[in-house]
Amino acid sequence: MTTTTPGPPAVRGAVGVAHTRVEGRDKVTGAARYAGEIPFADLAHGWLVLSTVTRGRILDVETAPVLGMPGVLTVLHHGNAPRLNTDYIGMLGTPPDPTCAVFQNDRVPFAGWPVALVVAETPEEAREAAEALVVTYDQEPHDTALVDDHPDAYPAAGHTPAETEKGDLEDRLAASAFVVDARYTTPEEQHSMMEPHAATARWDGGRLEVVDSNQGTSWVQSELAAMFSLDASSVRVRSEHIGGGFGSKGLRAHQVSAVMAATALQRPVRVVLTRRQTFSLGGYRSPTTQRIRLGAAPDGRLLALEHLSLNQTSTVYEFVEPSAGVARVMYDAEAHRTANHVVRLDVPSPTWMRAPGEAPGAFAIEAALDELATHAGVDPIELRLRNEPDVGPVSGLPFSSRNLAACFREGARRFGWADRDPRPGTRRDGRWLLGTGTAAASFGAGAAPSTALVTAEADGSFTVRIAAADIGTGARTALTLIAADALGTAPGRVRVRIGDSDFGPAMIAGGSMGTRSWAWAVTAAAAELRERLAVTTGIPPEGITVRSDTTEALGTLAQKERHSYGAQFAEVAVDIATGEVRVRRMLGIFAAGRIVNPLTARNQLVGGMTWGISMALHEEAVRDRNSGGHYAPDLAGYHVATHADVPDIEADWVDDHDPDDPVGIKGVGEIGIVGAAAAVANAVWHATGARHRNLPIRPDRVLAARVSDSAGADGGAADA
Amino acid sequence: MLTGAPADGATFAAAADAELAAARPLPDNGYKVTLMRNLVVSVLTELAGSDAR
Repeated sequence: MTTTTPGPPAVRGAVGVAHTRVEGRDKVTGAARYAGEIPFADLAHGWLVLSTVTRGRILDVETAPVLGMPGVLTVLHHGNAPRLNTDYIGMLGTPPDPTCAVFQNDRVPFAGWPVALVVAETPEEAREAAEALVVTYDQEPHDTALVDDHPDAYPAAGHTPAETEKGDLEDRLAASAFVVDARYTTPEEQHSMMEPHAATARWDGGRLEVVDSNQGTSWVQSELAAMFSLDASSVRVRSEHIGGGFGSKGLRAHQVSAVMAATALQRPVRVVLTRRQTFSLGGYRSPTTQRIRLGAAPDGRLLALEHLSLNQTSTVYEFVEPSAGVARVMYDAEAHRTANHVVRLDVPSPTWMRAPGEAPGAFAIEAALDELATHAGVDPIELRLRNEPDVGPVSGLPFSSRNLAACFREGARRFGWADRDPRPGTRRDGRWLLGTGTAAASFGAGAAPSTALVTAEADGSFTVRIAAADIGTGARTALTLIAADALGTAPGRVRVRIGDSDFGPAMIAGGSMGTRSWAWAVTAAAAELRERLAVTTGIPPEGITVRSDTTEALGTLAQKERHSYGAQFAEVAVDIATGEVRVRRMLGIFAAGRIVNPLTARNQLVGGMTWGISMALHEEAVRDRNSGGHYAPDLAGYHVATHADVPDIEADWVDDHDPDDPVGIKGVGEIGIVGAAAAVANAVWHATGARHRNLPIRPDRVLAARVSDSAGADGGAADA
Repeated sequence: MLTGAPADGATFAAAADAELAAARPLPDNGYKVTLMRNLVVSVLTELAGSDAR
């Protein structure tokens, strides 16, 4: 995209300078209101009732006793709910998850499936009645266990090809001097955002208005319009402040059931999910079981690479966790095979969770490369540098910019990697064995069509309107800086309004594509506005507004491999008597394009790395095979890294300039978690000599690995 | 087993093993026997070491 702006901007350089959040004061003083606490007159409260069986049919919903309870207004269920349209493909190219299209039939496909909504005058009355509601079921046997080589598994594409293959894998493995053949598993992981899902729906003069907490107002607007067969212009979705999303906050059962109830009662209805309900209704990261085979020449160059991944999905919705996709970008080999398979089980529908595919996939392949480095006697960083591809290993396309080597060199220097003794189990600090590990990271840098409105106000200030979402990332602030530079003014003279579908279609906060996509639209509108202002003598009272749409410009972007990269480093201490693993320090160096706001970018990267610690050591949603439901689905039973688990984490970046890119921004939302768990696991091997191929690395697994080591096993933690 | 024996790791380990011989763990909590043994040995060894100073 070329723009012809008249002369150099008057003020330049807000982008790249640390800027605190423009809404920070509102958030710390409590002035910022979240979806579940915005007041409405005459508000009624809905409480979802979830199935207590894992598979079967609803025989009866005994509404009569509950309808007589104090404050109860109605009970919605499959016997009285309106029919919904689910035969459509949404804005992100996927059909709706039937979990969101509530109360359409009597079938129960998993534990925690929504079976009814009780609406009452107060949340307390709604909850009391919901807990009293008797639902009877015809129960059927279930299968909730993801196992290797499940007979019902099949290849599935999702957003990327299911399988890629080139060369003769067996031949190249046979020709290899060193071979790694290992299985890796990652558990079910939950988004666990601070703010659970919440929405209020109401009809306002023939228009449906939904005040929500989501990652994209135009996304949720378009889904609700399709599901309720309404014109998109008849639906307005707002989402001002969001307490975390991580992929979970799209269309969910809470908005749909709130709209149903608001329609039935003709008054505003709010539905808030409880923490426990988010475990089955909010999506989650599927567990994975992955097999990796690597074959290398004596110098460590890869001759063969195979990455197979299997994830679970529900019986009502196909979701692919594309873990095998990592090597399609990162590593080439003469024989190269990747495949993502899924199996439908009687479990809730998984969804995107921070770095879907890359997070579990990089754990497996970066751990396997560490094993190969050990076998080949090559330093783990050197091994990766020797395997840097010239073009996309599968696509054959050039890289827009690929600064992985720079990340490793800068990271190695700052971490002190050069002094590392590669032998495992040789460093001790009191009861602790010490080790260090590293891993590579990558994440796609995509963009999607967006529209923006930029207004020159009569008082000389500017207003930007775009249906962007700030899910805690600092997006509102980033767009303020971008707009200020694009308009040639100071950030203080720019007001950015987001989170309102009335501003027109825009990309969601997801896929690390938000800031890149929105910045493109904002800069395009700003450039055109400046051209208009250059030939305008006065600004009318209503201001001058320019609208941009990047759909066409996106189509002109050259086909290239566009990604962010990173090098992760971790030092751990392991007590093999207790099985405790403590991360002592972490360093991440990233090549992520132009960094808009160093303050919030660092916050994103450190947040991702912190989640990597959590993924490596703590997080695991455990399912009871007998009942089919979760054990302890709450933040007491589901462990996440908290302050005492998190050491000093340093994140920084190298120059990553792509002169051919019209935006230059790659996005930093997800890459921080990629490879972080592998760096920790590789460090645990370096500390103890035991390979941990199953996450999380719990104390019992560390103890079991020590027992198997002393029994002469080959350093593997062989539990499953 | 402990009375009169040297206060060292081997003695503590033997005592812990004798005490835990009757343990019948289930498939998912067997690690607790190992953990108990490890903790008994490491804590008592540490205490015996500090007493000797």
